[in-house]
Amino acid sequence: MATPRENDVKRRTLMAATVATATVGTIASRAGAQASPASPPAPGSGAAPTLKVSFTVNGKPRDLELDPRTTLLDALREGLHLGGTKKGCDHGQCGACTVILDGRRINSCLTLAVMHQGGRITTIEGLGTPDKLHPMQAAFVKHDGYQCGYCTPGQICSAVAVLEEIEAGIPSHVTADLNAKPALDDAELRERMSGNICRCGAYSNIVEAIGEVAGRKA
Amino acid sequence: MKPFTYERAASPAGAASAAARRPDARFIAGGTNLLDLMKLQIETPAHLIDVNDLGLDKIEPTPEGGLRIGALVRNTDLAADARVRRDYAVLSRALLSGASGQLRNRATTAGNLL
Repeated sequence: MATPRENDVKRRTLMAATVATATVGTIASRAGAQASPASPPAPGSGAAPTLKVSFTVNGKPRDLELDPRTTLLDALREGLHLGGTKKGCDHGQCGACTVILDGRRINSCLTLAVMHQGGRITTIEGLGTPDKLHPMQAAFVKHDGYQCGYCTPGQICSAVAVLEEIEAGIPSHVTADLNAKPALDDAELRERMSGNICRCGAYSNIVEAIGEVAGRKA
Repeated sequence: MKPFTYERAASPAGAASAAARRPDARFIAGGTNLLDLMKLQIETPAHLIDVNDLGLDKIEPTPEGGLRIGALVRNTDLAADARVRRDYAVLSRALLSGASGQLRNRATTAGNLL
C-alpha cells in the first residue's frame, strides 16, 4: 500500500499533467504575445556566468550554482524542489512566496538567491511536517484558514513572523500608541497580514487561527 | 530579466569604485523596487553591485541631539527604533503606512530616497 507521501507525489504528478494539458489552449490563444519577462531565466546565449551560493534551508546546508537572475523563490522551487513556497504575482504584491530569512519574513520573489550567501531560510516545509504540524499549521486546519490553499504556505510563514514581530514590539500602521506594546486584536492581525492576499477570501478564519496561536480566546 | 553580472561590495569605497568602473551598473540593497522593475525590463542594468555588506545599518545619535540614519537601515528597523518612535513619530507613521511587512523587512532608507 502506498504511504501518504507516495500518494502525495502521485497526486502532484497528476495535477502537473492536468495543468499542462489545460494550459495548451491558453498558450495557443496568447501566441504572439511577449513571453513573460518574469519566467525563470533559461541558460542560453547572453546569460551571465553562473555563480555559486551556499545557504541553510530548513536547517540543511545547501549549495547551488545559479544564473545571477535566479530569485530566491525560483532557487527554492526549481533548484531545491521545495514546492511549498508558491509563485503568485512574482512582484511582491501577493505574499504567496513569503519565507522567513534570518528570522524575518520576506517576499522570496523580490530578492536574488545569490544575495543570501550564508543566510538562514525557513520555508513552509521547515515549519512542520504532515505528522508533526507547526501550531500555526494546525490552527489553520482547525479554523479552515484556506479554501484552495495556494496562498496558505505564505500566509502561515507570514503569520508565524507576525507574532514574533508583535512580541518584539514592532509597531504597525494601526498601532494606536507607538510607544506601547502592540495589541493582539483583529485590527492589528489584519493590518500585519495585509501583504498576503487570499483570493478565496478566508481572511476571517485566518485571523481566528492566528489569534488562537497567539493565545487569544478562539 | 535581462542578463547581468553580480558582485558584492565589501566597503563603501569598494562599492564606489565598482560603480565608477561599471557605468552600466546599479546598486542593489533591498531589491524590492529594482528587481520588480528589472522583471518588467524597465530597468536593465548589465551589472549589479550588492551593497548589503557595507555596515551602513546603524541609527546613531549625533552631537547636536539628532539621529543619523544609515543608508541600509531597513524600513522595519527605522519605524521600530525606540528613539524614532518617541521623538520622530511622524517618520514611524510614514514608514508603517507604506508597503507590507515583508517589503518593509527588506526595503532600505537609501533605497527609498534614491
